[in-house]
Amino acid sequence: MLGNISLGGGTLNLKNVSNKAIFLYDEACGYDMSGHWRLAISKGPAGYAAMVDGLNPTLNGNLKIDYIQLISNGVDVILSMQNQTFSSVFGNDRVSFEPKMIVSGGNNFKLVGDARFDVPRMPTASMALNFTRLGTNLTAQCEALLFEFEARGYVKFKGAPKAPEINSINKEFTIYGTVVEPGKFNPIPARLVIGKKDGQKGRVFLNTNDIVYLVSPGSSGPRLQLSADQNKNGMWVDGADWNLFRFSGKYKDQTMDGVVKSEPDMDFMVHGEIKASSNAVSMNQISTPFGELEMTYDFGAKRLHGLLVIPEGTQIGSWEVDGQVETIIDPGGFVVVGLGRVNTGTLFVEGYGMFKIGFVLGGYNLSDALIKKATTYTVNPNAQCWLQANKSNFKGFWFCGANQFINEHYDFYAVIANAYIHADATLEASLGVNFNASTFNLGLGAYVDVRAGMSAITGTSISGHINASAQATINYNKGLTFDALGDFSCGYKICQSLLVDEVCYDNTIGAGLNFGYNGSSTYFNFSLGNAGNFKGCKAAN
Amino acid sequence: MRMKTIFSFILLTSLSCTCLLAQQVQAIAGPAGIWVLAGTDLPEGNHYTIERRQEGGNWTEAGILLRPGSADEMRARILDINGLDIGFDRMPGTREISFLWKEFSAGRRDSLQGWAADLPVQYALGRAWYDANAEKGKRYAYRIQQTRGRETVAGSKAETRAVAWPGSPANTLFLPVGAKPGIGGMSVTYRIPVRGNLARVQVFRAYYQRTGFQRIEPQLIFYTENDTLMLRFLDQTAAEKVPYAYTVQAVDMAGNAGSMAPLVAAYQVPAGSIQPSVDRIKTRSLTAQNAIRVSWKLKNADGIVSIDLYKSLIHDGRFFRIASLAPDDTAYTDNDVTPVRTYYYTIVLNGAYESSPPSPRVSGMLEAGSGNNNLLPVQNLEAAQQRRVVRLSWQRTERDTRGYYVYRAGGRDGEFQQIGDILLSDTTDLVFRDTLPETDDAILYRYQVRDVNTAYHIGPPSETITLLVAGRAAFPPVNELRLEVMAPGKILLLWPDMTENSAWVSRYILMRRSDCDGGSRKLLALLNTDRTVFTDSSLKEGCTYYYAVYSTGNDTAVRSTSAGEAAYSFTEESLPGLSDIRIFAVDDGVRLSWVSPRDSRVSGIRILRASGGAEATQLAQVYPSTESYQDKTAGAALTHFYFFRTVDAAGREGALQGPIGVYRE
Repeated sequence: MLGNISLGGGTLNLKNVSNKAIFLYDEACGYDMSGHWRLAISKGPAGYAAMVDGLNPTLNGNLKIDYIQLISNGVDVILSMQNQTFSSVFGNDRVSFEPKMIVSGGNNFKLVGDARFDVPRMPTASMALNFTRLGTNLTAQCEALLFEFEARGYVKFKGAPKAPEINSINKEFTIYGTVVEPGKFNPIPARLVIGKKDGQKGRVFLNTNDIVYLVSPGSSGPRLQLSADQNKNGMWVDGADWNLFRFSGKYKDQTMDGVVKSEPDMDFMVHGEIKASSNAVSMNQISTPFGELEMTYDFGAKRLHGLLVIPEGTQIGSWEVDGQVETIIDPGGFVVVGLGRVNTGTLFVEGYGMFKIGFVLGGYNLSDALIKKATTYTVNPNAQCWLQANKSNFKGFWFCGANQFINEHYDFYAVIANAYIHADATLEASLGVNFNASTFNLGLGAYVDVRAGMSAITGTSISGHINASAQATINYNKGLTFDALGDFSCGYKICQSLLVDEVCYDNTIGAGLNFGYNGSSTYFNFSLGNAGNFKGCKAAN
Repeated sequence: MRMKTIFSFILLTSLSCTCLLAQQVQAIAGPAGIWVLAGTDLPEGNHYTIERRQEGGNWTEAGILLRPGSADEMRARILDINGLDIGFDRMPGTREISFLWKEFSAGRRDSLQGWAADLPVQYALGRAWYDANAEKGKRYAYRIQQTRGRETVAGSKAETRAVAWPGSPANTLFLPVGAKPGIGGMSVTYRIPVRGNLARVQVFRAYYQRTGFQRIEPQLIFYTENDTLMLRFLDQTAAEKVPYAYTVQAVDMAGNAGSMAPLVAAYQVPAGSIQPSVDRIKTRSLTAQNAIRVSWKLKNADGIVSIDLYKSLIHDGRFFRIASLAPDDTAYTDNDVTPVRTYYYTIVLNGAYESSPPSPRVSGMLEAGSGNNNLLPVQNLEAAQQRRVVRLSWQRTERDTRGYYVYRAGGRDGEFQQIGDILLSDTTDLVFRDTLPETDDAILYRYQVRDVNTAYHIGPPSETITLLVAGRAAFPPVNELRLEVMAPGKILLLWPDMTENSAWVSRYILMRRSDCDGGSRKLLALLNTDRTVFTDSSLKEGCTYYYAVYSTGNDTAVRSTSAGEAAYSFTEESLPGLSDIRIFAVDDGVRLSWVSPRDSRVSGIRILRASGGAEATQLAQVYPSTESYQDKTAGAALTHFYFFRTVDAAGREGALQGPIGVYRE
């Protein structure tokens, strides 16, 4: 009769040891494959080689051992488990455990096996329970659970190398780890809580005030400070499966400082692809909050892009703007660009105040493509000058629109003469503010182009044009400047056919006017001949 | 219509320098014949005789030129020429012919102005002749002689250079400027930087982005702008809100047409008369219909002909048009979508003659839902097994599979458990390897596989596949290996029939090692279970041999553990030792057991013991027939070490075996 076998310095007492044992000298065994004495105990009539009791409340039952091998080197101890499953671990019946191996230490022993969680999509995880004896009682601690599983939306929860915590009252397992969708967002520290069958089904919580970097971890680029709203953070088992992972918080980006009135709240929902939304973005200098902002998060490009609604009646200064524009948020900052409408009220004449506009807003290094889009509706060749001068570290807004209120083309055909008249007239307005450089720009312009021509059966042809423009620009950059530019040109050409030759007379008269205030003095320039002398962007003030 | 032609002619003439000089004779190759111009001077009562000579040939009379007798005769002559289908199809109106006849009759021949370059008119006036009989590609020269009555006027003969038809294409260069809708039609403008031998312009029109250009005859007007000749025409037949494409073709005086000019599309004209974009463009996932709905609002549909919807998989990528919709449409359902994939949409408004810039790009995604369920299980699940490694393979059945879960159940009634995390793969044929846990017992394992689609739905289980795994206990250790010396250098090994312990045992592995052979174990024999004895006579004198037997099955890689070795030293003097020595602490002492060697020379077995660090002392000597001993003198709470030695009748001792330790509590 074998008895009184204990391991782990007496921590693990083997009971009901089978008599089916051999003790012999094995010439090659152990980790070093050398000669050692070896004790091997096989299953006896009770159906096991030995058993261990007293595991409650860690495990709800006795541990049955199929096979025991002790080798005289004092190192190799094999205790092979029987196929048995404990349906409750630490009193949590949503967790079951199937031990596979006992490892005996100096004053402890460890049960290693498979843990199963009654939680959707969670795989079998390797679990190690470390037992130590305090007096007559066995205490156990669960080692870190290094598993991972994918929930809906391709989101993975990955266990961290940190021991889970088991609540002694409600028996909830709290497993620490991270949530990540590879290639879609940076890992977010999280904890998975699994309660009893009559408790929490399984829920991943995020830590309030944690920072989620939307670009590179640790960078000063766009990031989110998680809110305390648990309904907007994490994921949980809803019915038979997980719901979608979401995270939410204050959007922080230093390029927005001074542009937005307050950091917007942004909600992210992970479908696999990631949607983001925000509402009521309020900008400085713009009294009306913008409408909802719907975005898609492109982690590969480190960019959020989406749509922003500028509701009808949005006030910018005394003007009303509306439209729907694209937004870009990336490490370079954020920018809103698009086309819309502006109602400037009465401008020169009542009714001409509704302009189509190009629009740029945000804190960003403006590319030429963005500037080109913002100047879609301008006819003023100098309209992009202020944007070009302020495109580096631009922080503010600018829009420019035009209203072509005359666009008439007439062609006349008669037996003795043909003629045409084309007339275009446009009014234009622009407004820009760059908070970064403390500059603003207000521009107004009017442009007229009339062309006419005639040919007669007598071989006479006449053509001519009148072209005039007027622009007024007010700039503020550490001082107020004003610049007005006007030009006028008129040309004609008269030709007479002489069958074998042609005789022509032509002339062009041009005039240009440029005056203003450059911050310290006034200037006035007038030229005859070529008005183009005053065209082109002036150096930034 | 005729007035248009005349007007364009006048302009051309007035702006061109390709004019005839008085009395200058000239041969001009046309597209199907040769024109002969006799100049502008045709005195009263005279006519011209025209002779022709093929290059290298003789002169022959070819025709005569007579002045017309009336305006009606002029008209008839023009009709004749137009009937030849040689590039002229225009007929001057009655007023124009009357004007020409009046000017011509009055002798104001130079006031024909633009008509001077119109060869059919010159033909009608008797100042040009058309050679329709010249052979293509052959060069002809013409000689013109003034004739009064039957007499040739002296000194009036003039000869042209030799030419061949067809003539060279017109070499005018047209560059498009643009097109604008105006009152009364579409006004199209071309710049003409190279005038070449331009005499007439033909205008063609097609519906935008369609083939099938048709010739139209709009009003033409030529004028100069910045010293460049410009062409403008007004297409009064252009329908409102229909996009057109126009091209023009130069024709020289003889009817030779040039190449087509670049197109001017009315569609491309920027204007800004329509809305800049749609408003409130949105997308919505229609999971029940497996579709994405794109919707928008349009504040003002004035001037908008159609709405084009474009789609792309990449925000900054290329967009493709997926629909062209009516201006009053405010939504579109896109069924060509995959769940949980982002698509981008943009809208372009098309006006009658312009298009808006693309609207802001909006993203859309078909979310996972009941509409994109996963209904079909994976197929052809198969398993191949090697020891504890199982290789599973199966085939995909769903179009949008993202990955798989593998489930395993132990036993016939065990619950299926998910093995590991999702296997991400969308390939058609899948292979997965699973390593089964090491067990003592034979266990039935069952496998199932489920697929997961891109909408995260887990499909139904596949068919179940079952495997039987022999556990470690399937091959029990062979405990009682005995060695008998049949003769020096020849031993007999015996062991029990292990098939009584396990039905899995079908073979035995017999291993041997020797200190004369490097000491490593080597396979001595692989025996079927009908053999439980083995005779080894391949021994060398002076060597010691150790034997071990393992039970195994068909796969010899899976075998029992070793139950100890039996040893034999092949020396004349040496005695064989014991085998299968076992020592246990029992309640009343220590129990020893062994298997004695079957060697007649062995007459006794000495048992020695060392306890508590003391030297070993002999405890007892027993006969070889005795194979156990109860040491009742072994003290408690001590570790006792036992030694064994065989002796013969002469008192010679075999090798000392031990120590074998046991702790007695």
